[in-house]
Amino acid sequence: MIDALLHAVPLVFAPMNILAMIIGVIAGLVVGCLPGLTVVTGLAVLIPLTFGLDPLFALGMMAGMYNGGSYGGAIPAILMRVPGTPASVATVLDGYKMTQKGQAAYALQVALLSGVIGSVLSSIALIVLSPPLVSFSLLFGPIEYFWLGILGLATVSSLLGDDLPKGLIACGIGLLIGAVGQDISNGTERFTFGQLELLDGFSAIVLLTGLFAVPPVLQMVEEAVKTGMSGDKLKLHAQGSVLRQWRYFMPVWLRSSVIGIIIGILPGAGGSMSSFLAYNEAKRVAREPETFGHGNPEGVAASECGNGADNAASLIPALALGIPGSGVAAVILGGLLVHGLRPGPQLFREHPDIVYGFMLQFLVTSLMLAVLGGLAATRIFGQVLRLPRIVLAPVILLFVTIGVYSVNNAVFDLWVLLGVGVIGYVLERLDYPSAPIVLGLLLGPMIESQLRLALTISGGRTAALVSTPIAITLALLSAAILLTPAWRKLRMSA
Amino acid sequence: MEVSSASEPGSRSLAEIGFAAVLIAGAIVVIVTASAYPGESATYPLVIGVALAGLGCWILLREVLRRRRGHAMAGSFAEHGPRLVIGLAALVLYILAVSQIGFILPSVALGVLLPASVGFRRWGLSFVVAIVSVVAILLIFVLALERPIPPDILSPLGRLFR
Amino acid sequence: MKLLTLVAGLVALLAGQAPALAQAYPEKPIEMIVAFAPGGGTDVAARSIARYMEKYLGGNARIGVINKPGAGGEIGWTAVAQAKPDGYTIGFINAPAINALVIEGKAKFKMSDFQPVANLVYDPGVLVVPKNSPYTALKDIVEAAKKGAGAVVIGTSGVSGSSEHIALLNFQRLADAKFTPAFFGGTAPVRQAVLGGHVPAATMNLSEALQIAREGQIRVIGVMSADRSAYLPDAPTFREGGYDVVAGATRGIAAPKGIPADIIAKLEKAVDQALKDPEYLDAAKRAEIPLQYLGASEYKAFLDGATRDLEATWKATPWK
Repeated sequence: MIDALLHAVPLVFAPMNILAMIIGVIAGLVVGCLPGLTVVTGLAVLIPLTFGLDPLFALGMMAGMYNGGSYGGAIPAILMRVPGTPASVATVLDGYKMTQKGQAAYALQVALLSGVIGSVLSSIALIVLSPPLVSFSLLFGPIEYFWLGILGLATVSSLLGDDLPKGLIACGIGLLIGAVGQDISNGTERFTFGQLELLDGFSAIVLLTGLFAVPPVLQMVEEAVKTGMSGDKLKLHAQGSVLRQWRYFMPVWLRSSVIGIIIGILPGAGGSMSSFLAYNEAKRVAREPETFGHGNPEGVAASECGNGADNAASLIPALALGIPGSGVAAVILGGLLVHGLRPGPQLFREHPDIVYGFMLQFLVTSLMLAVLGGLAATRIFGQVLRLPRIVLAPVILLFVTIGVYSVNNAVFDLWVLLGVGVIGYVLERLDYPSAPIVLGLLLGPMIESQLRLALTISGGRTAALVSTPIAITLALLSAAILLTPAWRKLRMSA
Repeated sequence: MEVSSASEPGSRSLAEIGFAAVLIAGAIVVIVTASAYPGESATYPLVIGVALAGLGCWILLREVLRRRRGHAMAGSFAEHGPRLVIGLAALVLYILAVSQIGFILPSVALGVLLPASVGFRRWGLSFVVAIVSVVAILLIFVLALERPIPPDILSPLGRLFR
Repeated sequence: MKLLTLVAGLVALLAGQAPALAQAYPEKPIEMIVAFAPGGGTDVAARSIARYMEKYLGGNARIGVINKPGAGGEIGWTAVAQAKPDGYTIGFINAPAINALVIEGKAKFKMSDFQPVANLVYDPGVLVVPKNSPYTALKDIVEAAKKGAGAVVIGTSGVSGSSEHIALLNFQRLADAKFTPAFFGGTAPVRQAVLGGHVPAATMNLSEALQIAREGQIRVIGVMSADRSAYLPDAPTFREGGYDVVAGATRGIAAPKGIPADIIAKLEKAVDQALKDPEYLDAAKRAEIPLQYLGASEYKAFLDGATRDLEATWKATPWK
């Protein structure tokens, strides 16, 4: 391995390949920060263009795009309360509050460095730990995925807000939306009302964008503020430097990275779950959990670090087994195949320089992100905020509209955006939290389908659900997460 | 809209009750619809429907009781009623226009007219911002990513410039 | 107004109008509709072939790939079927999934609404078991299924009514046994489940099983094709095992019916030449894409045959 790594170094740092990585990171930042556009879209366009090119050129672009895109989502999440990707929803919770407190630049820096730390650790895990992590990921079958979904849903306990029934209602609404569409095991159409567009259910990106982007636009119109943010809110001075506070963030970073890497190697779990789990864990162990959701930088750090750590890790099962750990990894697999690189153990034997080169590119692009991401966020994107807020409102709407349209190229989705946006506004006005909706929406289908698969395979025996050590561990963890807030309250009152 | 005093319930309190009522009605629709599905497909939505109906009743009763006792949720639902109506109307008209005549013209119109309708009169600034946004969108989505935009009445114009 | 000119230029770009030099087809961009999301197998196939088709259509031919995903392909296919038959809207269709949709009677289109242009890919289905499975041949798994009715669970990457599910139903009928299908809804999860031994057997497409089968991490106990695959010559076919099950997924190009014959011929030829392009062929071979070119008339015959087979199965064992 060391040998292969050394061989790969000159390839990775060839001028053309460095250029490829820079292009990739920038392109990733662009697609990531635009709501509705995802890294998957960017890669799908990119792959056919890389046909005749050197594999490491193409792979460098892909690695850059993956890393850039995962941080890109945090920029609008922090600055405008509009998550660019599903994974940055948890970043909104504290990130936007920090912006409101005048700490926009600091919040961006926290997000960036946390994302970079997560990506770097994840890349190292990819390089060093691939084989053992692969065998770990194979231990997960339907039973384990069911419990993993429950574990993810349990983190809702940290997102419920101050009013318990309202938090639960929000979660229920999300679960219900997740049930829309064709039931894959018998073809029953649930709540589709004869609409072809709903057979596959609502698109998560469309819902998310409507839920998070439309309410602030309406609010901006209501407020009709005719001035913009002052320029110095975007300068870092007097807002604190994350690098100098590394001791403070280190525990959060380590925990979140481990969570992100574990979720990353499990195909089908995905980035948003990593960030929610990491956020929940940071809040759970915090001395003052009540400060989360009110602009605690640790919340931003946990969410973005978990999200960044998910990236390279999701390629572990993809490279070693050909099982993509995320939508992006699936497209990257397609890109590898185009270059004749067939995933599996033989890939490491036959093309070690390319495999390890690709892994190194993940590491290098994470570090590039630290520079490029910071520039993009404050120098370009941040400056947009200096526009009068009332002028900014239609701009957000334009980008959201086109982004949502391009998800499925369907006008239908624009009406969904409108409907969901208005409902989102009402919910927000009535203090219903939005994050549980997202969690329910993303995890509900996974929980239901995996439970039914598990029961089909076991022949209907419910006892099978607690028949493996991992299942029992996950179940106990879920219970611990759910009970922590209650236990804390008990201890406080005692 | 003024903030109402505690003795006189404001629109916020009514909205609270109204939304809970809508939620309960929706949950009942869900329960009725789901009952028609075959067994294993029905269970999951049924459970959620029942839970939502229950939680909706909780919120509804809580607010009704609070009103009885004279401490209903204070405040009004909207921050500024008339401007909220303008915002909603703009949103609906915009989406309608995009679906009918395409993305470009309605977007420029929205960028200029929405700020103006709530009293922002620096026309030049809003016009430039709208144009720059539309151009940026076309560059990123259409040119770089080859994503189509909604069918646009301006598309045929493209022929004239080539 | 420089700004206006810029906008106009952009509008021109988005319309992508090629100058109408020759009166010949194509004089404006061709839309290629893909009924699945960007990044999926069909999408990658479409985007790749589109570049080479542009080359062989000649002139300034441009093909824009447009994704209209949803409803298992139904939305995109409906768009193709209902498009203007002028040769500027074509699309990828996936038999037999598309035939199944028509037979279920829900689709807004009939198979006769399409004018087949050419088939590109034929990927046969396979039945695989984990490497330490007690089943070494088809007859083992059939025997086990006969012992306890429904006792053998077979994971499928599709949904109910997918080509794999239908193939499984056919196998069941021919073997006179009963299996319990477990629908994973995607290739990645079912592949992981069979690698980790969470299901006793699974169906998927050959190209998805190739690599892990060669590495010995799973065993292919039956290929649903007439002959053994050149990519995996050791794997026996279902026919050899005594069950005449031939099934697989195809990807081909179709246009709305009523499109002029000379345009079909042009498109057909472009696909044929693109598939023979050394650069494309090389990439396809390295990626082990099971290419199978069928011209317009052969492709039509193939589609008709698929419809007939499915109708028979639907009568015997409706899958929904």
